[in-house]
Amino acid sequence: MSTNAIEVSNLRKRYGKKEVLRGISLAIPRGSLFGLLGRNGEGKTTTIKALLGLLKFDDGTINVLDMNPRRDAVKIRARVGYMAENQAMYDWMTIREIRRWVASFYPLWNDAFACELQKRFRLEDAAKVGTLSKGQSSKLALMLALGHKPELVILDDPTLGLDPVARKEFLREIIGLLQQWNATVLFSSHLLYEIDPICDHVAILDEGRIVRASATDALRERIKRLIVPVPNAADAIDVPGLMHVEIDGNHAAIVTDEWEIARATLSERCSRGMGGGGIEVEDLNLDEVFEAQVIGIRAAGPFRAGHGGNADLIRTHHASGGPAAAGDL
Amino acid sequence: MRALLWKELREQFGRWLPATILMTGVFFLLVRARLVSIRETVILIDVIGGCILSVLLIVETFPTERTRGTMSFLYALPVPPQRIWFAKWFAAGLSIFAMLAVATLAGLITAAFVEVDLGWFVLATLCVCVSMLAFQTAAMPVLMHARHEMDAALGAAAIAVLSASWGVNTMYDDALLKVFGQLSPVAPLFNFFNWMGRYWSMPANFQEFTTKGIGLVADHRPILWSLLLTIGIWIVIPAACMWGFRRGRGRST
Repeated sequence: MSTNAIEVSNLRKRYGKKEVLRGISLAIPRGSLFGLLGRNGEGKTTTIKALLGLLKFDDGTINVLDMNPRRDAVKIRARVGYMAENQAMYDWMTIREIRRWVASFYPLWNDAFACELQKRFRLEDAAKVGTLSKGQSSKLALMLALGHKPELVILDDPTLGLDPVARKEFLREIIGLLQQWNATVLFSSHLLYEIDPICDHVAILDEGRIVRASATDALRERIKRLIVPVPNAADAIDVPGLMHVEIDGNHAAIVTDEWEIARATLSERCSRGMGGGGIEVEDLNLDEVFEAQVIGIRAAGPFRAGHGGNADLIRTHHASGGPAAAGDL
Repeated sequence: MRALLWKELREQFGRWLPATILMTGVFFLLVRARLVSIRETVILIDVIGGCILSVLLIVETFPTERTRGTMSFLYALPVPPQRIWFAKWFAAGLSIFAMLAVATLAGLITAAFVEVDLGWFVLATLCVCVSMLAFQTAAMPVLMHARHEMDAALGAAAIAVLSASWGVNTMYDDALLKVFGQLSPVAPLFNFFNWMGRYWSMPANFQEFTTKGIGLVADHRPILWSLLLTIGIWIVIPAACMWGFRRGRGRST
């Protein structure tokens, strides 16, 4: 039995001329809570559908719970709890009917557990699915996804469309539930603050590629923001591990994934008279890491106009953030 | 499969009930009013009506589920997609059959009061129902090996149209039937019912049939030839379908 619940290697998918997945490689350890981050349309749902055998992919290999989705899609879906984004269900069914109906497809369905979840979520047996609020519908979908106590849970943007209060409540429920048994969880979202408190591993998907994959703590430990006094923008850009830079007057906020080396480099420059004052080091939350990784590189565009040579440096750095496996850092 | 069928039948009942009431009413009125002959009435209601409704019931299920967004929910269940399509088709087939049965029963009751040949009426409606069911059954290997919803929907629609054409053909018997009818999967069934109907409608022949039994069947060589041809067709067509779809299956997930 593989130590990873999911292993993806060089996954490629093209819709017509558009290549949505450009060689994704991922390894999700068993028992981990893995966050798949990415903006809308970056290929998160496509990746998940490929994992479940719901989508034909062009190239690459996938291993889910030691099974191949090309051959064993039905077996995989029987062992995985999947909650799709904006999950629509049959409005005319009652909660009891839909629970029993879904149960009939899962050989390992645990009805006592499903009923317990239903009670916890305060869903009435006789209520029609069509009469539920958005938050209740999400809870029902979660109940149906977890009713067979799956060893792997895949949640694809589960809080999409929920208001902030309902979202918090829903996440609280998820965290409470996931602590009950040692399931592996793949949580896909574009809302970073959602994933931050839940996930212990994270991968960032950008333009069809995994640009970073790591344990969340390691990511936070490695990526920091340095506030440096700089008289010249070029000094701020030529920094090891640069991910993002913002210059405000004589100070630069530099996000780097090699902050210790970067700090040493900048300290040396400071001592050579680059600027006055000390270097401040700030911790980043996942939101800021994501922004630096994905948006920050693009925001570096304006620098190209004024500092053509440095733009090359930024592009080189971007290219180096290619496919990576969890624990690479 | 039972769960899928239950869901499909529950969803189709809402469409089935008004359609059946409508069809029964029209049948009743047409027979009573004698606006067209009883033959045209059967064609109009059982064949054309049955065909249109079966196309609607089968084909409409896919876009309806897509619009509601429930298709992805259905596909995410641990069942092969072919089983989902098959359940949709099977439930539609059952609905159509039930619809025709109810409408026919109503027509039959009405016909009893307007002095039409009941033997012919029973024979004709039976032939139509059996034809449609037989064509639907022939579609089974196609649907079970379809790779996309479109294959399943178009296949089902094509078969419904074929059923209707065949039903009309059945009604008008004679020349066309002799040329094309023998190539149909239901040719021997039609011949058999047609043949039995003739004997039923003639008491002397009916007695002859009951006394001579199998010996009489042996005298009807065209029926036997037709039966052999049909068995061949029923083996060749599904086998070709399965071979074709299996070839393409390796490319699907």
